[in-house]
Amino acid sequence: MSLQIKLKKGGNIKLKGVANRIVEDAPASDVVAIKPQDFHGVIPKLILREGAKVKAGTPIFFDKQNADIKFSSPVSGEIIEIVRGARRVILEIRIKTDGANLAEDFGVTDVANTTKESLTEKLLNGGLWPLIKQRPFNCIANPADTPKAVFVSAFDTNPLAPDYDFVLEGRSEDFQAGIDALAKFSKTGLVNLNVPAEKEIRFNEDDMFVYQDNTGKQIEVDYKTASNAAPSTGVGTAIKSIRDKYSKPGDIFTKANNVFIAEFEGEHPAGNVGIQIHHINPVNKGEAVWTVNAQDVAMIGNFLRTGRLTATKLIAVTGSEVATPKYYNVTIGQSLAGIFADNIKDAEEAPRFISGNALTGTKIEKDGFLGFYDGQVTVIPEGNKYDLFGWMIPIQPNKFSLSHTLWSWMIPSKAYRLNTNLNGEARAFVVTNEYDKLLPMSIYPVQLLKSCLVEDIDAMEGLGIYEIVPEDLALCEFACTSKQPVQQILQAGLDLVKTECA
Amino acid sequence: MKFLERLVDKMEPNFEKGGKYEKWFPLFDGFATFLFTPKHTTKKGVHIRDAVDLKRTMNTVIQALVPCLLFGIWNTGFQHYKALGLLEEFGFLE
Repeated sequence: MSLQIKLKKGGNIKLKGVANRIVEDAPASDVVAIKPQDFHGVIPKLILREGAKVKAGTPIFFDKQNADIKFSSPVSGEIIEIVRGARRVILEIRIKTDGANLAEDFGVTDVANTTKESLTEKLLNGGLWPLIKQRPFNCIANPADTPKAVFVSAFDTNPLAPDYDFVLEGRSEDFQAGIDALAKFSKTGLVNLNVPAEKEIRFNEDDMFVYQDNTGKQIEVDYKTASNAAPSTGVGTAIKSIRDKYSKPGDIFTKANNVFIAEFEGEHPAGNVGIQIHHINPVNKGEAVWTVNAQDVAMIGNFLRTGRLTATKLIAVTGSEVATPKYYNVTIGQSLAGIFADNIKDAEEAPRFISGNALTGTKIEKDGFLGFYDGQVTVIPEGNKYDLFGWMIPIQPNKFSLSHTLWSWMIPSKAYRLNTNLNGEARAFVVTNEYDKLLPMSIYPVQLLKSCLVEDIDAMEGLGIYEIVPEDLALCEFACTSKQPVQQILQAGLDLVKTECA
Repeated sequence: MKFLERLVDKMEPNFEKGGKYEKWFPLFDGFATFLFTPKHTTKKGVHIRDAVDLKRTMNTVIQALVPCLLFGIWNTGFQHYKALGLLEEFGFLE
């Protein structure tokens, strides 16, 4: 049983710096940090203080509004510092790893024969509940709720996003265990798993193509030579096998049990789970749908199968400023200084480091820590430079636009080295059709945003605030000619509705 | 065009708050943004932005309208003389 949905609206942003499909273990990080600000709406209440010894899975703090939701340490070690900001807001809880890899034992779970209540308790105690988020509001799911569905998106269409088929290679048992557990929460007894009809496999055309040969050795070849190599050579086989293997969703998704598969075709944001929910099972007031990231499903499955928290994940280090973009095996909350130390291209100015993708990620420092939910890191150049007559010249080969005012729409396959320049200044919120063309949902984005600005709750509810979250509007914010802070406006509206109505 | 950039950077502190010509800031700003797109970077929200903004959009509108305008000017004259039957005399038909 499957559903095929074709989305006509949206737009892809092709950036330079696609991650090569090779995995490297990240340099060991002494310090790991959990940032409570990654969890929007959570007011942390500390259980342990500085100097406390922790194991992987030991709860460190809980949510003031719901004491059941605990956040635990990803590694074993000692809490060395609690970094606070203005008004004593906790910014980071830093844990020094001891390398002993000790973990709390929560007991192995036989998912098939466990009740929903017992699973809930186990995930709450293990600190894995924050991986389950909900619509509306995109906050951490309420354990007391019964969601009408649980959605998992098997692909990500954000710029330079990781390939989940590659990331979850060899983890089908963990993934299936996670799916089986999540299916128990859903009213339908199935998890809605959404796969892409076809994925575009991109390579870095101006850069090196890195692959592993039969002996496991990493080989770097100039991409132009690699793409012209005969199929019988090592590099030719590598390119062909990547294309064959990863251009369709893998068996881990298509042959999973307890799932309802829907196939999505279309440009970004087709991979956003909020868009997928809107087309299959829209959320109304009073209802809830839970969502979990694909790699987090495998983490939940692994926790239930082994009884201990293994907080490692594969992240893609991407972006035009990365010398060799590839996948790294990291711990959640790990310091990224080791990864950036020798993998950033030389440039006259420091680039911008983003934990997450270029549309929805958060800015971090060069020695910053990976965000809890982030599966990629993007490094792009800062753009604080003047551009002579930049607003007037129609033909600028290095500039990218989703509109037809530049020539980028005529060369759809080109990848761009975009920087963080605002490309204009903030102007009044003009009503044009540009947002509607990029949002494949049947809601009116500009009217919704204006109702958020004037804090008109009835209008917000009528216009669909329960269905949309800021990441769905990130592409609209990218394309906005008035340079409006769209995601910030929507988040303020969501916070207001959550406090007033929920 | 580096010298222009340096000139703008050198003159800017005089026009900001507390500077000598604070009142003339809009004039300076208009002149500077006529020459250059500003170097503001993204602070919150998305980190990359589309190259199009209202200035470029309106500029594209003007560029698209110029051929129409020129044709319109020529056509008005043409219609005028056609109505008067004086096309040959005024050189429209060679």
